[in-house]
Amino acid sequence: MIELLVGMIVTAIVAAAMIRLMMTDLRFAEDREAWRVARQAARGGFAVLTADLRMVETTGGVEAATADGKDLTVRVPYAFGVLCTTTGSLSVVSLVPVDSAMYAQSGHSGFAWRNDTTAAYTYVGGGTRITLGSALLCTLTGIPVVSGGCVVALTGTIPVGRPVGTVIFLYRRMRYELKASTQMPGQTALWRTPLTSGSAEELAAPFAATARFRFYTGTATIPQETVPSPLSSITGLELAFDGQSDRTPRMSTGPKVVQFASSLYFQNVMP
Amino acid sequence: MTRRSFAQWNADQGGATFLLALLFIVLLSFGAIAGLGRMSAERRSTGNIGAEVDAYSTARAGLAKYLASATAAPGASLDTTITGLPGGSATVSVRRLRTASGSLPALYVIRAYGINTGAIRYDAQTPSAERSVAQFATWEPGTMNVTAAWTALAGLEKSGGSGFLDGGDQCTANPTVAGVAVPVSAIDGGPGYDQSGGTSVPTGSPGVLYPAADPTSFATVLPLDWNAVVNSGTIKFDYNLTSGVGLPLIYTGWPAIYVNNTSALSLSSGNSGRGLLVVRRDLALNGSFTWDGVILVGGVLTSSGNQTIQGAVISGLNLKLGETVATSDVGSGSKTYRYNSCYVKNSLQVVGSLVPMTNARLDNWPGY
Repeated sequence: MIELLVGMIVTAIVAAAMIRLMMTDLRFAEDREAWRVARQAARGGFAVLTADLRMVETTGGVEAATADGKDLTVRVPYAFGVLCTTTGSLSVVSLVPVDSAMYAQSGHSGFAWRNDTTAAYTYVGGGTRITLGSALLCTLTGIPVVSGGCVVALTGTIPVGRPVGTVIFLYRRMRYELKASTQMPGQTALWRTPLTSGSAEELAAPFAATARFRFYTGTATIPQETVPSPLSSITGLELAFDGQSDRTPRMSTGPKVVQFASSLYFQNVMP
Repeated sequence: MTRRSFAQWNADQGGATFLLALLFIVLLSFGAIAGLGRMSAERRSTGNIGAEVDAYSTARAGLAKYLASATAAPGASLDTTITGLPGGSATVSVRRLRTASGSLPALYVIRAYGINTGAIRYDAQTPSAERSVAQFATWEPGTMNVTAAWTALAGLEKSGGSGFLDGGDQCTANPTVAGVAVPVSAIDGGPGYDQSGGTSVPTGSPGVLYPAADPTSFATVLPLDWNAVVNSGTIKFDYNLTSGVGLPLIYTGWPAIYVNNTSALSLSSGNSGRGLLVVRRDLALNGSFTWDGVILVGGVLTSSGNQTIQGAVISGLNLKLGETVATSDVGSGSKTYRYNSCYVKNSLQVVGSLVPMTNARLDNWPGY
């Protein structure tokens, strides 16, 4: 009987030690997982915005930004091409190949044409985009259609005197917000809303309350929190997407927050 | 309990301990494997992001390297591979969207497809990172600020009043320039333009232009990097010669010809042609030699016979290298040196470059 009791006590001590070890291991794993979720949210937001915003040009790309850095409206170029011919209100454009998923998204907000002399773009909002089955109107003016590209007809005003070969891009107006998540109630999410048509989309969550956009101007290498004026002076964004874990790991005082900031400079910048 | 059953019970207890320990080790192993799996996924995820950035850099480097290396206007379609880039290579595709017409330059779209094989990957199954970038560009022909039909840095001597030194644009595209541009004082101390006999030959706006007081000052203010032309390989010449041997027999285009001569290069009617002719030292023109385009001469240009040069001529450029140059000499006879902006433009096509258009970069050209 005594041996049995001693055995049981020893077994209990060993078992308690084992359970304690396993609990520590689990807590550690939970802690790591929380960090991973926080990083994942930050990365996810950055990946989507990088693809969207890289081609933004400075003269009219950023349309609006709120003072808290959590709400940004941008004209996002999604296809580039050159002018074949125009009547002034209807233009035929030869588009170079474009990522099909990006092209197929809903919403066409307008186009912008480039002034050969100043390199500045003039934005023409609204109008429609119709894909043409024939490249004849481009061929007649000596503009070839690049393999993988297509010919579209755009409605919207453009000076008749613009030379053949004028660079044109099509854009969508997009609003990016850091606001309450519906997928993870009580958390902050990154939202993208096409403003011409289509519905809001929750891109990534959760983010810490400190997540925001910051702004680069000119050749500055340090971003500013104040919204620059004019907006055309913005040459890039710092995506301060501080990711946050979706729950508080045991023995922690709060959700894990990853300080994640990455710079994104617009590629089409006026000299 | 019999002795036999107690022994069996005791043996069973030992087995249970062993099994429990084994179970515990297995559980811990599963935990470790799961943890390592997570870590591996993290590494792959981070590695993928890094590889994507590397591939983007490779594509951009390939595009930049192609732009820097393009020495002639590309045709309608061109595909080439740029190797030797850090971490990989890039396939560059050039498509002409518009041919040059009037004042509009030829327009191209250039796409670079970068493949980065140097990025650290944590899985043998993971393919190389790939990325496309594209850029609109125009072919800008070389330009030359022509101030006279003949610019003679060391001065110019002319015998008699026959012939033409005419700054009027024979192509009628540009305003009239001076007939000759010379320093006030020639290298020999005489007048910059020294004509013996007859009425003054140079015509233009003005007939004789004096941009500087002396040859050294003139060499300083003349905006042409002669050192880069003859010593730095700025221009990719179609012909690199040391004498008149090897000059084209038939001219179908507007070639760029460089003659790195030690003694005076002598050209006569059989050497007539067109394009950009660059002569490192002295040049002697004889007989009925004709040339359409630009002639740049490092030393003295002497002219005997009845030549017709249409385009622009600059002589005495070795002054820009600090070398000694004598006065150029146009002998008597019917010499015709006329400014022609079209011939100048045509002959400078080879010194043009592909210029990326500001504000016209693309980033979503598919790789498939």
